[in-house]
Amino acid sequence: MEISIKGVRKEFGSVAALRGVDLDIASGELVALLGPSGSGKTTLLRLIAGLEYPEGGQILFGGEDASLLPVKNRNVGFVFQHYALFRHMTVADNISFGLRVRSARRRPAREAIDARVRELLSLVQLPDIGERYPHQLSGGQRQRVALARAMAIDPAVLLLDEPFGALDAQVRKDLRRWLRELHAETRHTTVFVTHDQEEALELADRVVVMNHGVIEQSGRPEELYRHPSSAFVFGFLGSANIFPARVSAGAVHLEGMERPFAPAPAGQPDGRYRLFVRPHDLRPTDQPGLGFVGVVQEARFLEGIHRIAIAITGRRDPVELHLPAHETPPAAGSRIHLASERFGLFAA
Amino acid sequence: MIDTLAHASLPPPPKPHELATARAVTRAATGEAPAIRLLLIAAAILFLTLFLFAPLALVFTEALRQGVVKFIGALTQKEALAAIRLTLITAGISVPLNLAFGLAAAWAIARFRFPGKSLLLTLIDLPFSVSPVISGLVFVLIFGAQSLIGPWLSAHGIKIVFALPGIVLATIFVTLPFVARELIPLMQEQGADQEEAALSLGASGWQTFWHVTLPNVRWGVLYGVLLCNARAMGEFGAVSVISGHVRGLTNTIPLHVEVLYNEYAFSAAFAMASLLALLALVTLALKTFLEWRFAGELANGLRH
Repeated sequence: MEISIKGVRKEFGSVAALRGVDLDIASGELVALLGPSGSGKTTLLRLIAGLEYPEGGQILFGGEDASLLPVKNRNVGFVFQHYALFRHMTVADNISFGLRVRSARRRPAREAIDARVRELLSLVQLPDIGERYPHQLSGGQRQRVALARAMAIDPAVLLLDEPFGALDAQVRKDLRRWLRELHAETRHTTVFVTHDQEEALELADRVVVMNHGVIEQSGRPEELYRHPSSAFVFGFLGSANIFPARVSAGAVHLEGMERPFAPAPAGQPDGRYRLFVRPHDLRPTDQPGLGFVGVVQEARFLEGIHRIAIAITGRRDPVELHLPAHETPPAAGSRIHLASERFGLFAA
Repeated sequence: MIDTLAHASLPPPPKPHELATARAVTRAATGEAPAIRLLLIAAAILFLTLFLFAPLALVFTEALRQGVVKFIGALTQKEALAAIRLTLITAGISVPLNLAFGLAAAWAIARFRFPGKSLLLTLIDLPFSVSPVISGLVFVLIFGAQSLIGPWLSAHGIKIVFALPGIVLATIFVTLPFVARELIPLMQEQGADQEEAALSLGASGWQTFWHVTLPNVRWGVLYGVLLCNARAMGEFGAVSVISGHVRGLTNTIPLHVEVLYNEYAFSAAFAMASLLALLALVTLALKTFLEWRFAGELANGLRH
């Protein structure tokens, strides 16, 4: 079901958690709400679920105003960060809970419920654990049971709060891929919250970056990574070297460097800026006249990338440079000349 | 290749003798000299014997000094039976009421933010900090003949002071904190996630309470009820002030023990007292069992 959020505001006491959020989620879409803690992403998720109510604005489910509908009438599948499985019930009872609490008129027959539980258990690839209790399961298994429980009620939308937050790295990777496949199979409209940019970029059709209670930018993962619209998004998605810079006479200069860094982008007004450049967009170069010079401090090799720290006069933190594995990293102590054509300029 | 690399980067496992040294060092750091240890243990045992085991043993030996027949005779006297019945009625009314109150208060405090919350928390603790005699006296002052509503009550034939209602009121007041105090930290620790999950799955408020909230705190509830009951049956001070000590009518077991004792009916007094001692032992056994079996499901912070 498509969801439309219009100008939603939420305050907790005097603290504004959301200050006017607009977002449209298409039916079947897999959307990530990404942001640092305190950015309002979890509040937005809870507002969609009906676990909180907005102070202003509207939340529409399939065109109908659901802003003030209580959670029990919204038909949402919510997966909690710590799963919130009912610990005194077996896995099967957990999954069937949403069906069993229905009024007699809407409740499926017992055989139908049992069949649905079996179907969901096999969907989450845990066919044989129906009789176990939550404390007998691993974190990854609990996560999947929580998802099966949420899907049992055929929710209009699946909402996941930091779905992989409490799991260790390997399990997290496997579950991410699994969730991606599951979504491709079931096409549930899904919104999940994460503070992990890698998770958001890998999993979502669309990433919504939030900060200080507003949406900074929203778009396809690659689009966001390549064309971040603000300093915050640039810095939050992937790593970046940040320099104080100024634009004058058609060129970008890094503060304290004599030669220009690059030609200024067309139409960029003169003034002070912060320049962002990704470690893998920096390139060693022989071309004179542009870029900057530094001294190689150390080079490490990790996950197929040479990660090189470069000291620059007048700058406290070293600049980070990434080179692909097949290139030979420069020796420590050697001088290196770097330049880049891809960078972001944002108001200082 | 990758395997060997991974192994190479790990520190070698500690050799057995290194482990042994490490253990010896820890023990030395926390331990005391054997003589001091012995002295401390002996002091603890002596203290416990003097103040706990000996009095307890004395209660039972005194109760049975003149034989089992006399013991049973003392317990089946008309006035003794009346005291036992009154105690059971009092506990039977006040414990369920405090259970309901404790659940409601704990739920409100653990789940919601509202003005006056910390005041409510403090008030729940009040009966623990006020002398029971004062608790009894307060009810005498509110409902007694000299009070504002006293004349109105007596005009309508409603007896509160020196009667069952007063005893129940005083008992409820004194035992008010037990269930709530056990449940508040437990419910705070568990958080609202499971309840929110139940609601999001379409459960109503009552379904959530019966199927999720209550089962999650059931052992905590039982623990609180146990302690509440022990106190309700054993309360002396508050009940003593408000009951008026009418033999066979407003004497609970503890009050009856005092009456018998003052009349030098020692073995009868101890026979009644042994009932309370037995209640204490059963409570203690059940409490220990609960703590042992369901440690994780009881509030960790507070023990009474």
